[in-house]
This record gives sequence, structure tokens and C-alpha cells, in this order.
Amino acid sequence: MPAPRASWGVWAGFVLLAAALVAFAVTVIPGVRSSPGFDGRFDGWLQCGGYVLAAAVAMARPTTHPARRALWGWIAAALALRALGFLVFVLFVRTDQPAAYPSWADAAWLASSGALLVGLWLLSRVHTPRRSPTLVLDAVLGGLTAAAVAVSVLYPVLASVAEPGTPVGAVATNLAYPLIDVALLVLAGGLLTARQGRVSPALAALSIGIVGFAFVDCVFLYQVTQEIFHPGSVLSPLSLAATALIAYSAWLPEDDRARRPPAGAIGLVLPAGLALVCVATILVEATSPSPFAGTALAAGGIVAALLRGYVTLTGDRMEAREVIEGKQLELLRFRALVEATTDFIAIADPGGRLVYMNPGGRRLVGLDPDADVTATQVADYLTVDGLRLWREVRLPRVVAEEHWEGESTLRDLRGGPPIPVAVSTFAIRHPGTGQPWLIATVQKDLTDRVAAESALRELADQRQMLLGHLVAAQETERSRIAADVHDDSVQALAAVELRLLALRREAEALAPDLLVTVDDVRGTVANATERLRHLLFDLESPAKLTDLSSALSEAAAFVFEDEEVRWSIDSEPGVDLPTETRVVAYRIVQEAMVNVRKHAAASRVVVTIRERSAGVEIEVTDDGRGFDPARVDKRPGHLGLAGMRERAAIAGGDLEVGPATGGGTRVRLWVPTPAGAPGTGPVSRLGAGEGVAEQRRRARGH
Amino acid sequence: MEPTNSIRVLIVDDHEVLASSLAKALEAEPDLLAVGVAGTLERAAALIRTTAPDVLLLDHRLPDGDGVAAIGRLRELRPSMAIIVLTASPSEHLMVSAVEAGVSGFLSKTRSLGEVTSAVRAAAVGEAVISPEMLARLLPRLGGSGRVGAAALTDREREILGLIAHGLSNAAIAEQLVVSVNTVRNHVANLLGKLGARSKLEALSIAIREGLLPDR
Repeated sequence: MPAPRASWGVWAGFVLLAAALVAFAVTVIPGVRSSPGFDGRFDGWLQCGGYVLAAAVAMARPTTHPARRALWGWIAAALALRALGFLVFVLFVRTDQPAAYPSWADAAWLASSGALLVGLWLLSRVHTPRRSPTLVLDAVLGGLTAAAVAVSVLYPVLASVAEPGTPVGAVATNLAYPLIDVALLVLAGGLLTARQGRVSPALAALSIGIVGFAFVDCVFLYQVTQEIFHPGSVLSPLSLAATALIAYSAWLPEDDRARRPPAGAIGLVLPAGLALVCVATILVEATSPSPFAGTALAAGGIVAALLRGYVTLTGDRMEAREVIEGKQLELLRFRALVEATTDFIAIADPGGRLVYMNPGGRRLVGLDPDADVTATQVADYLTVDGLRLWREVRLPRVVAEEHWEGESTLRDLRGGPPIPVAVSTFAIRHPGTGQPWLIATVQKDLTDRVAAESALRELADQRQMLLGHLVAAQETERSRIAADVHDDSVQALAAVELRLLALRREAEALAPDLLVTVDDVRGTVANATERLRHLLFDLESPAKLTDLSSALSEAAAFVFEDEEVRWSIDSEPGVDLPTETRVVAYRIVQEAMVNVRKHAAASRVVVTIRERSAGVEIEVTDDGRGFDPARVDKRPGHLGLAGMRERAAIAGGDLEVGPATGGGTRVRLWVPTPAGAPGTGPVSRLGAGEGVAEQRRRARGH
Repeated sequence: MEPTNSIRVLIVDDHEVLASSLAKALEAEPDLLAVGVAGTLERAAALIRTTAPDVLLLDHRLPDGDGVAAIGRLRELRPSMAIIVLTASPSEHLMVSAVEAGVSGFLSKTRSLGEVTSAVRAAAVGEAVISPEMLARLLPRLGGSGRVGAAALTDREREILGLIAHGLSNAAIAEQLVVSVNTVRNHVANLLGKLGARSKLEALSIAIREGLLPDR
């Protein structure tokens, strides 16, 4: 968290505080106080002013910033109490001779230190990273060391304080200061140690301030007990400076990031150092009179340091064990995965000898769950086809490219039919050496899928057959109708025409004014005959009797006979279709040609017949107006575009209608010849099986 | 073939109204004589024997068989007879097989029945009876099945063959080559003999197959 933004008021406060500090420091320089013009009250007012300013600046933080309000509130309160103490001291107590113990000033100062303690405690709770034994031990070690050092340092002072003859109140008051200071130092020491010295500027400033207080209080106490204290010593500015620093810390950045202390042996440096300090303290205490408490604290510190070392070193091993256990758990999980799945999973060495087969796999092929697979070979589990596939395709491919996916069959060891499977085979490299090590395979039972597929295919075949019958029936019906029309209607009209001719001859001779009428009737008859001709063309199918290109050229001749269209049939020699398909193709192309005549206003039509992709492709290309799918022909008896597509599908092919390069329209029909019919299973060939859909895709040029 | 007093025509068609109309149309002509009407191939065969027609008008669809397929059989009964096939929808495959069977030509029931009298006369003198468009469509298709090869033709014969391929009648050919019609007829007869054809159309068919025609 960056430093809280200080308003200009706060900055002003700091400037004034700095000024006061400097001024006060100046008054401490020897000689200044004794110069004329120095009012003794300067000292008091400067000090008070400084403390009040410091308190005000510190107070500004919790009032203007919501973050950590409680913490900084306590610290601000501590400074406020300190300022209050000085005010009281300057105004009232100083003049009181002799000093009353405890005075109100003392109360304020002690309360201030108490508040500082609370603030520091809150700070420690905020800044302590997540607990671990090392951190706790570090903190304890730091605290104990600080306490031990403080006690041994303070002891002589304390000893003089407790001299008999001094009033109890004075003793108590004078003892209270160092005790609270020790507590502050312990807390600060523990905090700093726990963070391995990596502290935010705020915490650093606070800690220095606290150390400053402790130092000042100690020296002050010493001086008082030795009665050498006098105002104007360097202590006072130091105290003010420490206070100012604490106030300033409220406005420094606090680093929130919990930083892990360095793990392992490196983190032992600080604890080791502190342990050495404890040892030194004990040695010092041994040479001078000191309370048992000091020695005990130091010893406790050493113990804490030893514990810390132990925890660190074993912690490494514990960590390692945790990691291993974690990995073991992972392994157990994977093993459970492999053993629970119903898929077939097996591993073999490159020579083909089995190393492992999972329970799901054993169930699939009918192998006993407890049977030893290492005595078996890959070949034992494959059908003849599967074995050939393995030898010729799978193994080489796995060796070359390290994986192969496809379909195969497994042998059912119980004697059942071969089991179709989807296979993924891959090579495993040794984790240590990186060399090819084993071959593994994961296979999925396809029986259901294969059964569903063959049921579908059967249905598709049946549908095809039914549709074929339907088309055949339609064609038969048409031929029948055509025959009737031919036999009867056409001939009747021809007879009428003949008779009209005869009538005309008679009229020419006997009643010339009737000639017009006779010719009129002849015109009507001719019209009717022409319509019958068209009907016959629509109904009859020369495709039943001749080959494809002949039939189509007959159709073209009829369709375009009166038009100004040049047409041509361009056929690869010998390309033809079986009768059923040819009839369907003829109808579609016939319809396409009729569409050209009706809509295209073309001058040239080319019909090409080609062999392509195990089928025949017929294209009708014109150079006319282009095709508008919306204007589809729906005359009764005529197919229309949808009808054409349906017919194409019935024959197993497809139809494309689109623009031709250079304007005009291109109708492309593709139908398969019988060799491309569906019905091949998945494993009868090496690699994947092919169906009509595959062929169609290839016919489209994909 | 020499025209006799009347050209004798046998009508073979199972549609009574049409057959009788055809007969009537023929009878209106002084030089044509309808000698009979047969509704079936059997009856046709019988009538051929008894009435000795010069021209046969044959419907290609009869109750007891395909007229075109029967052409060979009917010809055997009277080889000098010219046969004209009547059809409502002339399709190429039908025409090809008829030509190879040796017909003199075709009449479309829907189009050209009005010309039946001139057609009969033409067939009687050995002309081909076929509209130019039909001939144009037909020519590329001829020359399919295997038959006996032709002896070498003279240049003149080849020339005449080419003109026949253009649909010219004997008279037109004579005019073109500036010779007499009889000369043309002789050439045509020789041509037919060399090619083993029974009609001009058949001759054309064979010629195309043998590649005897100049570029086609």
C-alpha cells in the first residue's frame, strides 16, 4: 500500500514540526541557553509546541484515511497523551518542587506508552504473514533477546532506583517506564525478527522511534537517579525527534505483502545472530551483578534459537515428505483412473510382449482378472485382420511417428465374434533417459456403434431400393401413358389431319370460300398435335432403350428444335450408366434443358458427360441470362429444382446449380455407378472404411 | 424400279381410324392404290403375300411386335418392296435400327403425314424418304453395327453418295451433275449393290461406317 496522501495542512504541520525541532536542537547547543535574551520558558514552549504538532500530524491520519484507522488511532492517541503529559509537566509539575510521584504528567506519559503498545500490537497482527512454527519461534527469539538485553542494560539503573529510602511511589513510577519500554522493545523486536528485517518504511520508522523512546527513558531514568539531569541536555531533542518520527511513520508506505522469510538455512542467519547476542548478554551478566531474570531471558532466547534451527532443518525434510506424499497421491489417483475405466488399456514392450492390461481391458477380451499377461504377446489378442493391420500399419507408424489412431478388431478369448475397437496406440519414452521405452494402447469397444452403423446402412439400402422402385414405377406409368397417347390420341389427330386434307381438296373444287375455315381447323389440329408431341416427349424415355449420350442428344434435339440455340453433346466415349440410374439422370438433364429453353435466353448450350469419382458427371452449361432460384418451374408433371435434387439423391448422387464462368448457368449432376454403392464395413480394408458420403465429397472436388 | 400403272400400297397400322384415313388419302390419288390394311404383323405378312404391294406403310408399334424389328422378315417376303416407317415420335435409335434394316424412310405421324402421297411415290422409285433435319440428326449415328464391307466405289459413285447424304433426290442429283436421271438411277443401283444395301438410307449407313463419305 503506498503512502497515504497527506494534505497541505499535514505538510505544513511537518514543516513547523521540523522547524521546532531544529530550533529546539539549537537551544541545546552549549552556550545558547546561557546567552542573554534566552527565556527559560522557550524551552518549555518549544517542546510543548513540538509535541502538540507531532500529535496533531499523527491524528490527521486516522481522521482522514479510513485504512487501519484503529491502529493509527491508537498511535495518534499515544502521541497526544505524550503531548498532554508535557503540557501538564510544563504548566504545572515543573514548578512543583519537589516532583510528586506519580504526577499527572507521569500518568499521561505512561498511558502514552501503553497506547503505543496497543498500536504496535495491532500492527503486529496486521503485518504478520501466515503463521508457521519458524515465524513464531523467530518472534519469540527476538522478544526474548530484546528483553534479556534490556534487563541487563537497565539493571544497574533499576538497582539504583530501588535503593532503600526512596518513596514507594517514586520507585514504582520509575520502574514502570523501563518495564513498558521493555515490553515495547520485545514486541518491536519480535516483529522485526519475524519479518527477517524486511519491513515497510512505516514499521521501520515506528521501530526506530520506539527504540529512541526506550533509549531516552533509560538515560533519563539513570540521570534522574544519579541526579545529574538538567534541562537542555541532548535528550530532550532526541525525545522530540523520536516522537516526530513516530508521527511521520503514519504517513509512510505500509507494505502489505506478506513476504515469506527465506526458507532453508539462509533464514537461520538472523536467529543465529540473535542467539549470539543472548550468549553475549549471559557472559556480560556473568561478569557483573545482574538479576536472575536477565540470565533466564537470555537462556530462553538461546533455547528459542536452537528450536528455530531444529524446526528449519527438519522442516525441509517435512516439506520433502509432503511433496512425496503428494506425488504418491497423484500416482494412486492415476492408477485408480486406469483401473476403473471400461476402456481397454494395455502396455507392451517393443518386442510385443505384454507388460500390463487394465481390468477393463481384461473384461473386454474375456481375460481372467488375475491372469498373468506378461506371458502373452500382442498377437494373442488380435484377430487375423487386426494382426495384419498391426504388422503392416500400426507398428511401423508408431515407430515412425510415435502414434497411430484408427480402428481394428480384438479377438474375443471366450470364443465370441471379433470385437471392433477404436484404437489409439502411442509410444512412451522413458522418463529418465528419454529413449523409446514402451508401447501403450487405449481402445474403445465399438460393437454398439458398428451395429448401429450397419442398421443405418441397411435402412439406407432399403430406402434406396424403395425409392428406386418408386422411380421405376413412375417411369413405367409414364411409358404406359405415353404408349396410350401414342397409340390413340396422336393417331386420331393424324387421321383427322388426313381427312381435313381430303376435305380441303374437295372444298378447293366445290366451295372455295370454305378454304379459310378448313385451314383454320387444320391449324387447331396442328396445335393439338404439337402439344401431344410435347407430352410424348415428356413421358417417353429413350434412356430406357439407348445409351446415355444418345438419349440426351435426342432430348436436346427435341427441346431445342425450334429455337435459335446451338447445342452440342460432348461425351467421353463409352461412358454410360445402368438403366435405372440412366433413366433418372435423363429425366433430370431433360428438365435442366427445358429450363434453359424457357428461362435462359441462351444462344449456346453444351452438355458434357464425364466419368468422375466412380460415377458419371453431366453438366449442362448455357451462356444465357443466369439462374434465379426463385423462379422455379412448377408445372404439373415437371420436376422443378427440388424435384431434380430429390431424384439425384434417390440415385445416390447430387445436383449443383450455379452460375457458369462468363455468365449463364451451369447445372451439374453427379450419380454413382454401382461399384461406388454403400455397403463396405469398417475393417474390410486397412485404414478407415469409405461410404457414399466420402465419394460424394470427393466428387465435389474436396 | 419401274412405276407400274398404280403404285400398290399396303398399310400396316393398328389404329383403325388412322389406317382408313391413310387409305382414303391414297385413293384420292389416281396413281396410287391402297391394296389393304393390316392391323398386325401377321396379317401384314399374309397380305404381303397375297397383294404384292410396292410400298409398305409400316407403323413401328404393333400389337404383336415391334414393326422395326420385323422389317427384315417382311422384306424377305417381297424384297422389291419399299418400306416407310410411320412413327409419332421419331427417335434416333429407332431410326438407326430401321435404316440398318433397310427402310426407305420415315414419316412422322405428328408432322409429315400430309406428305404421305409424295412419300409413297418417292419410295416407289427408290428415293429416300426423310426430312433434311432428320437426316442431319441421323447421319452421325449411322455406322454402328458390324456388317459386310463394301467393294471399292468409283469416284462418280462416291460423289453421288455425298449428294444423297445431303438429302438430294435422284432428280436433284441429275440436275447437279448435269446428267440424265436414268444415269443417276443406274449409279444408285450399282451403289446399292456394291454396298449390299437395300435402300439409299441403308447405303448411307454403310458408307458412313466404312468411312466412304467425304468428310463428315
